[in-house]
This record gives sequence, structure tokens and C-alpha cells, in this order.
Amino acid sequence: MREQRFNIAIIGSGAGGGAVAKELAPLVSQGVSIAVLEWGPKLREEEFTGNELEMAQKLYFDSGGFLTKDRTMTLAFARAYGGSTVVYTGTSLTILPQTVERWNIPGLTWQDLRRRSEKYKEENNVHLLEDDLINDNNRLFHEGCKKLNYHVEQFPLNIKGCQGSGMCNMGCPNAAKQGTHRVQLPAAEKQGVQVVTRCQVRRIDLSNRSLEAIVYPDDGIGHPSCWEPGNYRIAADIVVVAAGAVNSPALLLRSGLGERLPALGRYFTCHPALILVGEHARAITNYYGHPKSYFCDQFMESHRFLLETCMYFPFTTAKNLAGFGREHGALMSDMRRLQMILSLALDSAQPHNRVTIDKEGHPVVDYTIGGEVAQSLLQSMREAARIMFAAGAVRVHAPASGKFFIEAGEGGRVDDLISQKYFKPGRLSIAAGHLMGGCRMGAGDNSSVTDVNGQVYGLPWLFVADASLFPMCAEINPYLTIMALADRVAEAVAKRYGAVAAHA
Amino acid sequence: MNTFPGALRPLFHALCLCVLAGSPGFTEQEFESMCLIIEDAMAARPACVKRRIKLFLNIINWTSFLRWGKGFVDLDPQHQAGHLCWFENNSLVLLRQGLWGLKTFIYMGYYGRKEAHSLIHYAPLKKGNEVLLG
Repeated sequence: MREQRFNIAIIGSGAGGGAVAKELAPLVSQGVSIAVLEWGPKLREEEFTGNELEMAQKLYFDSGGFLTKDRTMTLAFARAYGGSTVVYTGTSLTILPQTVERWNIPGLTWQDLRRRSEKYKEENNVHLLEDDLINDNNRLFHEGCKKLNYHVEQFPLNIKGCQGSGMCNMGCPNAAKQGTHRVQLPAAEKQGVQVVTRCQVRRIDLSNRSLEAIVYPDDGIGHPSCWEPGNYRIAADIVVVAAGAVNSPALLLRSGLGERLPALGRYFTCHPALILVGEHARAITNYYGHPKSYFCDQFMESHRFLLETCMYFPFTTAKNLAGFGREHGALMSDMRRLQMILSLALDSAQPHNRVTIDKEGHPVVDYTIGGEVAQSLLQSMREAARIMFAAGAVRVHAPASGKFFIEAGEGGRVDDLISQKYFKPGRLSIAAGHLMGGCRMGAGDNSSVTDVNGQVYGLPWLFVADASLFPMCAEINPYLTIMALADRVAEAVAKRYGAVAAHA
Repeated sequence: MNTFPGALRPLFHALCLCVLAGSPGFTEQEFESMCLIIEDAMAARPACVKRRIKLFLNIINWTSFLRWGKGFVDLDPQHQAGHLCWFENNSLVLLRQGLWGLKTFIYMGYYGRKEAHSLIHYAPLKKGNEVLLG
């Protein structure tokens, strides 16, 4: 067992861990030692090939196929230097005031989160894509929404030098996406923060504030770790857990905190999503250019869903279609003619939707797709189909329809054709990439794990700084909000560290 | 292919033919290269996943006997498709999931090959904006 010691240990290098690392980095010049312990590898530039299967295996947990306990939903989250910021599409939205009001966390204001979000928007070069770089797939969504008088907005994106590969979800091959692997982590390392890759923290020893970790040997993917492979005990004055909404609660559960924190793992939310695919009579530009320019929030309050443009790769597209055989082959025969819309349900935080661990300590996500989510997704499919027909699609595949194709002439009947009786979990391909909750912040009763600054109740040296802090779903892409909350946590850690150092 | 040894292999082949009916260019050679991709993916999964897939293939076959008096391989294409539809729309979520899982592996093997990409007119470029800007 090798020993290491740091003043501050940050577990995870995604939106939360990366932000905390950069914010605390100035302390290094004051003699504070800081390490980021990241389970995944740091990929070499040439390893971002854009190949769907290859990159899924390199970057995602379970190659992007992590299933919930009942196997009705797939969760997509990454394991890499930069975490899931390496693989998401870069949409950067500030949380809405009404969401913060719904969260209802004393001491957490929208004004504060907005201020912090603006900081990261500037840091990450967030801006609107130029008009001439918006492809047909996105334009058609915009046109369709406008024809139906649905409110549609452009997504601000964290990109610099985007070349329109469309491969965002497989890691940008042009180094354009400004995730923590491009911005916060390099800035932190420059100031002396040590980032250790291939390092999985298995358990936190609460009795002596040390981490039991393993560094994995080089497997040919990415750079080798800066530490020798083997088992480690890492002592730290302060620990910040930022391993994501699946692995952060799992780590704390493995560390024995389940009994003292009844809410640990609970209130997991994820914006369950599915894809509609429409076909146009002619080829359109869809996989060229940035895939995600617009979203429609027309139904956010009324039916609790959002619609976004999206464009997926062949295998991902295929597995999201219900049915099989000739009709599947017909739809997939020409990817150039496809328009895609992603619908996301804004799920409520329920205590029974939770992260637990199995007997080996691996995370298990127990999530039930309830009636409200089903209704949201059903209605979202109907509206997405209407948008596609308004944009000129000749036929649409909706996974909860009684027939594989709904033809344009049947567009007036989508409410009947897309129906509850075909909404069958296990038949539909439901996936989620916005994983939230599990270590929710709150007032300190049995329904929360941390305070408003991410400190775990009862353990003043232990913090959480990722999406697992969310008390409810973000109702937008959570990326910027994770960073804004992590910024708050970093401030609290710096204050706490000052207190620890003073008592040393 | 170790994942589908013996009698499971022709069964899996028949399933691929059924699921991919209408998909261009599905030949014997492509079946072999599909199997290599699936084998790789299976190797990265826990052993229980492989057992589950094998069990499901057997369930497809047994239920085919129960429903039609013949194994899946011996059904005509229409009955094969009907039988898989019966799984996909079944009231038992486990059977629906099983078919989704099987389809996922088949599509992984088929669409995971570069050869399939040209057949479906999928030709991404690192500098896709050059196409947009003409």
C-alpha cells in the first residue's frame, strides 16, 4: 500500500471537480497541496477519432450502456480527464429563476447562481453559433417550431474553433469543446494542482480522513497515470467528492454513510429522454455541423418536457428505433435524409428513485419511469412529430406509435397514433445523460445530505461538488449549474481550509 | 465465436437476418465481421450479460416451438418477424427488454462497421463546416 498526503483531495475531474480544482488552485502558491483523483484516462489528441463504438468504449461507463436496475433506461456518463464535459454537446444555459424557486434551498439564490454561471460562460467561451454554421437539421426544427408558434431559442455553446464534426458526444476531434479538460484542469495544473488519472477512489475512511484508492495500469488508452499502478492510501485534510450523480453517492455509501444520512442516494433525477426520427424527401445537412443549436421550452410548465435538436450516430440512432426489419432498414437506408429531435422529461425528485450499491460496492441505479414521466414523454413525441411535419418531413418514426411510420398525411392524427398503449418500457429506448441528485443539498433534515455549500452534514471536512447536489432536476442542461454550485463549494472549502490550517 | 457456440450460432444468424431484413448488404461475410464486433463488446461485459443473452436466445427458440411447433430457424420469414414482434409487444417487461437487448447487439455489430456507413450514406467529416459553407 503506497501512501500519499494532500491538504485537499478532489475526487473526479468533470464539471464539478474541474471547477473546484481551478478555483482552489491559487492556494497552492500558499503551500497548500491539492490533488484531483480521476478514475478515467487523459486521452491523447489523436485518440479522439470520432468512431462511434471505439469512442464509446474509451470514454463512457459500460460503453454508454449502463442500465438502470430494471433495465428500462440507459444512463450515459463518462470516465475521463474532464469527466462528462468531454462528451456532452456543450450547451450552456443558466438555470431559470423558477427552478431555483422550486428547489427552495435557504441561502441559494438565483442571482448568485446566475453571477457564477456568467463567470463560467466567459471562461468557457460560451456564445451563439453563427448563422451560416447552423445546419438543416437545426434550421428545420426552428422553422417547424415557428410555424406552430412554439417558443424556440438558440443554445449558447462552449466552443472555440468548432469545425462542425458533429462528433461532440464521442469527444471533439478538433479540441473545440471547452470542457474542463480544455479550460479548468489545465489552468489548475499550471498553478500546481496535481491531476492523477486512472485513479479510482473506492472508499473514504471516515475515521482518519483517508481515501483508499487504486491506480490502474496503462491499458493503451490515453496517457499513463503520473502515479505507479497499485493500491494507495491518500490522507487529506479536506475531501471534495465530485464523481458524478452515480458514483458520488455510491462512494459515500461504500464509505458507510448510508445509515447516518437516510437521503444518501435518494431523489435521483435524470431527464429521461428519447429520440424521434423524421425523414425528408431530400438529403439535408444533419451530421455536418454542430448537432445541437435549438431547444423548445413551450411545454416546460404545462407538460414538463423540453425538445432539443440532436443528431446521433448510426448505431445510437438504430437502437433508439422501436421495431425492426424492412421498415427499420428503409428509415436507416439514407442517414442524410433524417431529422432528429430529442425529448427530455423533467422528472420530479422521488425518494424511491435512488442510487444504491450491490454487494461488491458497484453502483445500482434504481429508477422507476412513473406515470408523470410517461405522460410527458408521450406528449413530447406528439409535439416533436408535429414540429417535424411542420418542417416538411414526409414521415416520422415515433417509438410509442402503433405503426413504424406516421406519414405526413396522418399528421393530424398524431394524438391517436402516438398513444399510451404503445408506451411500454423495455420496448422503447429511453436514455438519460443529465444525471442529478443522490447527495442533495437541503435544510439538514432526513431529506438532504449536504448543506447549501455542499458540506456533508456531520462531517465538516467532507464536501460534494457535482450534480448529485441537485435537490431536484435542473430543468435545463445541468452543466453550467454544476459549475456554479461547485464554485460555491470551492469558496466554502477555502474558508474551511483556512479554519483547518489555523487549528493545525 | 465463443458467445454463440454450437446450435446458438445458426439461431443468432437467423435472428440477424430477421432483424436486419431490408438493411443493405447483409451477407455471410458481413455476418462474420458483425460477430467479431459483438464478441468484442461481450468480452467487455460481465459474464452474467453473456449468460442472459444465451438464455434469451434459447427462450426465443423454445417459445417458437410452443407457439408454432418449430424452432425459430425453421419458421418462414413472416412467422419469424411475427414471433419477434410478440416479444417486442409482450406484456412481460422482461421479454420486451430481452428483445431490445438482442436488437442492440445486432445493430452494434451491423452499424458499427465502416462498410455499413457507406451503404447508409453516413460520411462524417472532422471539418463538417466545410460542407455547410460550400
